[in-house]
Amino acid sequence: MYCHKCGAQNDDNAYRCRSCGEALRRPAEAAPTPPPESAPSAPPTPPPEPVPQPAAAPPAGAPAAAIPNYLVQSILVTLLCCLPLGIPAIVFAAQVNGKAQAGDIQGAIESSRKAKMWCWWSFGVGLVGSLVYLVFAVLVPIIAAGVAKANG
Amino acid sequence: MTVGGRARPCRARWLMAAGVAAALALVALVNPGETRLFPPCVFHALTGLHCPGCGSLRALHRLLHGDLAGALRFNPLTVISPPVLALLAWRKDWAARPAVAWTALAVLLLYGVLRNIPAWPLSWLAPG
Repeated sequence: MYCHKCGAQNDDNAYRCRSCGEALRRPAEAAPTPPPESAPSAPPTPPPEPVPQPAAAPPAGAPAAAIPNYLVQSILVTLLCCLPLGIPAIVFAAQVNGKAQAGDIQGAIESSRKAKMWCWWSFGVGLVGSLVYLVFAVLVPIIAAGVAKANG
Repeated sequence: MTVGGRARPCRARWLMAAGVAAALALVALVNPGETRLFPPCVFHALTGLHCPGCGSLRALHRLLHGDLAGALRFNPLTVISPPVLALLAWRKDWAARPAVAWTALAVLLLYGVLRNIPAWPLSWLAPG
């Protein structure tokens, strides 16, 4: 199931979101439950199945604006880390709130997840690329020069 | 990434802030135009064209030294974007407008194209 606050994917039986710590409500719990005194003589209903609802049914009142779109991060990684991987991050960031406004909460959460994923890939590629460059273009020539000096 | 849950561990945030501060200090102390310490733009190395981020380190170096005109010379977008991004990070509801995100994408791509046109007002956008 997805956290209704931050959109992180969690175990279906989780009580708290592993990303933001928000208490997770199951779709069955989110539905208004009848007050207990309304049906005192009703036969005991079986407890709701723990995982019957598909993940595509977040609580109806899921705060659409609370789904992070990672726009600022997307722009930052595009400018600073890796342009080709940052562009899809911005595209997915732009989709998040459009989908949420259209009522497609699940689609918005999915776009949010993809924007986050492209941000991290861009950041990782930029960081690893910089470190590889640092080793091969800066450290290796310095060491090579030192060795050559010691030998010659 | 900083924007997320409010219950995000504090240590990660401090680590990130320390990393950003260290990176800024390095860019301020070492002139990216005169060292091989910073990697060159791969896009520029492969194509010879200027990407939207080309010159951003040299611009940041001058910006950190208070040289606004010098920063504008290398990458005007680097000068404009920090306040805009800070505004978007502060006002989440503005960042949540799809039009803002599409505008940001259009500005980035258009900027990337325009700064490669070697004609007078546009050549001002190219680094150098």
